[in-house]
Amino acid sequence: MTERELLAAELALRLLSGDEQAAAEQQLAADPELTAMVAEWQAQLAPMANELTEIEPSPELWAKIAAKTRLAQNDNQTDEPAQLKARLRRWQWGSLAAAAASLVLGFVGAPLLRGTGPEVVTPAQVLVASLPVGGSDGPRLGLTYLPQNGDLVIEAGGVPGDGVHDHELWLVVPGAKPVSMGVVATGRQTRVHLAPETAARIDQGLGVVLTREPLGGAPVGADAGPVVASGKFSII
Amino acid sequence: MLAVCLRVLGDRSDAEDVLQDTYLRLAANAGRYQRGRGSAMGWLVTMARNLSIDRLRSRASRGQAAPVAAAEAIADPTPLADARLLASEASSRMSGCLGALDDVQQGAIRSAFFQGRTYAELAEDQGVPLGTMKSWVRRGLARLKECLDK
Repeated sequence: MTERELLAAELALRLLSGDEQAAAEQQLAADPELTAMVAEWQAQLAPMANELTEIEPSPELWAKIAAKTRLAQNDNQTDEPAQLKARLRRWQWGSLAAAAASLVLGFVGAPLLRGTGPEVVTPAQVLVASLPVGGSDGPRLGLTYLPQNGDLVIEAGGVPGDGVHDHELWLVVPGAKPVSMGVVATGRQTRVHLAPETAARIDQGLGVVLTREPLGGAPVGADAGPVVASGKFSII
Repeated sequence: MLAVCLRVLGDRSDAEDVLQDTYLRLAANAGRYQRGRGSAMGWLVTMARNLSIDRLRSRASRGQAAPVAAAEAIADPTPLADARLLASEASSRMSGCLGALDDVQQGAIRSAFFQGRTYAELAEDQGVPLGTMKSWVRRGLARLKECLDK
């Protein structure tokens, strides 16, 4: 192995410190080939991480990440041609999906793989939706649906309440009446357990709307109030 | 990935912060992430580990004591049956190649990877001169590379 290859390995492992590190960083900045060698070492070393037992991020952390990731993507919008933007967006979600898949497998797939039943279950996926409240620059309501326990994590930290109304979440099912997913507590994060029949209907691409209702939510039998935000569930 | 952050940082809330940051960077820098070069998981592991080490080192330079007790409380990285769930061909080859190294080489490379230890820290841990540690690790890395490229 050449001296340069060794340096690349040392940089990938981050073994250097002090002056040596500073000198290596300078060299790195001037040497794209070395940068590529470091990247190759990083990729080769990364599988070491599989030795660790996975630790599940809590659903609350997941929801926070999902909400923030969406926000970051919106911040990144520039005046690129729309087509390029759309392609980039698909790409971003493609890599996120690939990345998330392994984590999802960690806490959704594991019980399925170890399952005793003979039936083949398709692992359900974590779905997210992000609803702009009050215009595209306004706060967002983040939703994360966790299929393994049918919970919906509602991140409404940035959504203010007015004290005289409640907001209610609805799942928009084509060809049927909207299904209520409950009243949203504004200004904080909550986690609600969905009725199994509602959870069964949640799917990628389904719309979700937030309506303004009298305190306590839409009266039983009455129509839903005005829509204040809407979005769609997608696979993270 | 949370496990990677936690191994380096030894603190759950720091590790969760870093995990969050990792995903934000993935979303923001997707253009720089090249498909075909390594897996998305590899990219994420590298990013999570690097951000954790950045945080660890900035913590040290601010003079705050790293939570050594917490770091030590986490068991040594021994391959567990469950961890094999996600093990790909690459990771089993890695364990094979790493396992073929001398104990000192293997131990130093693992500590560097999992805990972000530098040459200087590794030398101090083992009570050997810096130069000795360097040549152990470098020989280990050369053998590892040879085995991985086979």
